[in-house]
Amino acid sequence: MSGLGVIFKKEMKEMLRDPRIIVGMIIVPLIIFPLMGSAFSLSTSEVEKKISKITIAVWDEDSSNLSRNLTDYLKKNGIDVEYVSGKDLNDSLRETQKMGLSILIHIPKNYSSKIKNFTTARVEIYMVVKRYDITESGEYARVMMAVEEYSQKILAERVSEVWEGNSTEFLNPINTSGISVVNGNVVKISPDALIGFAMSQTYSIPIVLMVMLIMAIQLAATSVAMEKEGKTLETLLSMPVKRSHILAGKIFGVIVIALIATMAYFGGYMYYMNTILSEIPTQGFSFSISPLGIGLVAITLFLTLLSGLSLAMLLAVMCDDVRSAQSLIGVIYIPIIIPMFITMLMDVSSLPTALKIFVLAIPFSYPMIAGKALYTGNYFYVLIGIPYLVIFTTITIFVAARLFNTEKIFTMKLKFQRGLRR
Amino acid sequence: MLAVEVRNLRKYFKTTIALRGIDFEVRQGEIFGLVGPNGAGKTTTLRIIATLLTPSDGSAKVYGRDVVKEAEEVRKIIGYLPEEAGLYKNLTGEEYLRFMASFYTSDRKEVEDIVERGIKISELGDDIYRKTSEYSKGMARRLQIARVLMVNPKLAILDEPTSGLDVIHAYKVRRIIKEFISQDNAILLSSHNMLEVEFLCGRVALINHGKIVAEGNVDYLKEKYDASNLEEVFVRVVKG
Repeated sequence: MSGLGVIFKKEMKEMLRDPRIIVGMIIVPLIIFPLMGSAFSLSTSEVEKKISKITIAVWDEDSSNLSRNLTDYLKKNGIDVEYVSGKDLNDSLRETQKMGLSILIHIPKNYSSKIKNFTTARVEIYMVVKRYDITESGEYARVMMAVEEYSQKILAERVSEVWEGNSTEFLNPINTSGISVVNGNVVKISPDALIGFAMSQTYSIPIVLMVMLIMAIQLAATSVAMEKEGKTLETLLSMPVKRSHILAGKIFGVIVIALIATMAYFGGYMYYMNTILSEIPTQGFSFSISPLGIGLVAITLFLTLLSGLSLAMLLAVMCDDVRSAQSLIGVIYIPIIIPMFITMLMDVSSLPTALKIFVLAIPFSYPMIAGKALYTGNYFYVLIGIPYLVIFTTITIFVAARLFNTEKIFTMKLKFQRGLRR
Repeated sequence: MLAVEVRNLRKYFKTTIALRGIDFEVRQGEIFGLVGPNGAGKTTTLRIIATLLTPSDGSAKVYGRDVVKEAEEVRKIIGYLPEEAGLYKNLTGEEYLRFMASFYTSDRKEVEDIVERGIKISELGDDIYRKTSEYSKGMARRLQIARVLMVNPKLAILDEPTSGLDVIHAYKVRRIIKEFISQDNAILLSSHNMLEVEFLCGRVALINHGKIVAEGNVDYLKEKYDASNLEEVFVRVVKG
């Protein structure tokens, strides 16, 4: 076995036996995301169940047929009504709360006269906010929607009194329908629904890639810092093995572990996303992902990992212990997180020029851009990025290999460590 | 052929002069001791010979191979034990020896033979199959010594081999070192324990503030400085 193979095998063995890696990076994502998905799905169905049948209080000062029509409409729509008759608003609110209700509709005295006179009647909906949660907002939205629907019904009635034709058509002079065109094909889904669906899919790619890069960088830095902290580096460097093989063995070991951890993370995360996205109407539409796109993601990811890990090792070499190394590599997280947020929200082609240059200058952007291109089919920025990544990666590997070949790997120390230890 | 040949070796760090031009030789078949107090330059000298540090000036050769220009060749024929040598805590003692043996040969049979020899030298018995995180300091040091000697290096470089060990473990380590030496190899060790050096080494070099202040056969030095042991020799040399 070559020196590289020996180092690789040792790295794999060490990492796979480390409970922090097995539990923290592989088992936890496999459990935590499905658990989050199940919790989300459970709470969503619970909210739906709760708001499907609600009871509200009505303070009807008008006490007319018209006001009763409104409450009857609410009842027909699954909103039960309990009447309160306080002498003022505070009194009615107190009564509402005594009854254990949280929504009060106030129908003022002039309600029916305003409706009859074709002017605007005011109905106030009070909500006693206690929990600040999705159930409360769902209950409020349901009541508000029912009142607005009733308002539309009155409007239709008013129109029918002055217009002999179809009042619905009268009220809707233009009927619009949005249809999407994807890669030259007409897809009968409104663009906003389609974009929402695509964004929900592409959201996960930068997040997963960011997590993978950060995990791999942490592992690489830890791997080098552990050699220093555990006093094994001095022995290892005196062995008949090329220093470049030590570097490469460590990098490949970390890449394999990071890939396993990413698969676990991705599997768990996709389960979670599928759970929360199952409600989006896509009428069976799905994006076709080309082998070219997958290949480009793989190439950019591999190159980025190589450069990221080399950088992490370069920084870790300057530290005497794992804790200092992990603090120091925090500087690499920034250029990973920034493109993640930008590519999550916007396609790189639509960025302002200055921001576009900034994003394209960050090597860690490219796997995320390539990930997005899987859906958009726009590989231009990925293709121009690959030569840039090759150059950047070559430089970082060269610098790291040079450093590993000198005594600096052994003697280089950052002054700030003392401060960190205290 | 000389096992080690050091000529006018100098090493400067940013603000420190670690070695001020030292010369010494280690012959095949001998245990040579580099003796001196902490900070004298012993570890720096050994690290240069082990190809970990590069000299600022002068040269060091191992069996005629330059430690800078032919570092990879030198690493093939040396075994180096640092003063503070750690182990991989997730590997067993046996796995550690196998990992280290694999650097010297890709032949499985040869690796097995080397590991077997390492297990024997370490005298760890069944403990060799336990994770090294469970080892005492003495057990860890014996495993390290076994790691160095199992590959039959032509030059074993041992930096404070018994440092921090209790009497029993130190005795065992010294015995292992004594048993290893033959006409085909050499040992260069450093220690600030003068009695240990006196017991193990044929010749010694006394080093202080980066300079060799005396060198020769232990008995010769004792006679020359009219001392009953090496410790007295050192004190007399240093105090003039």
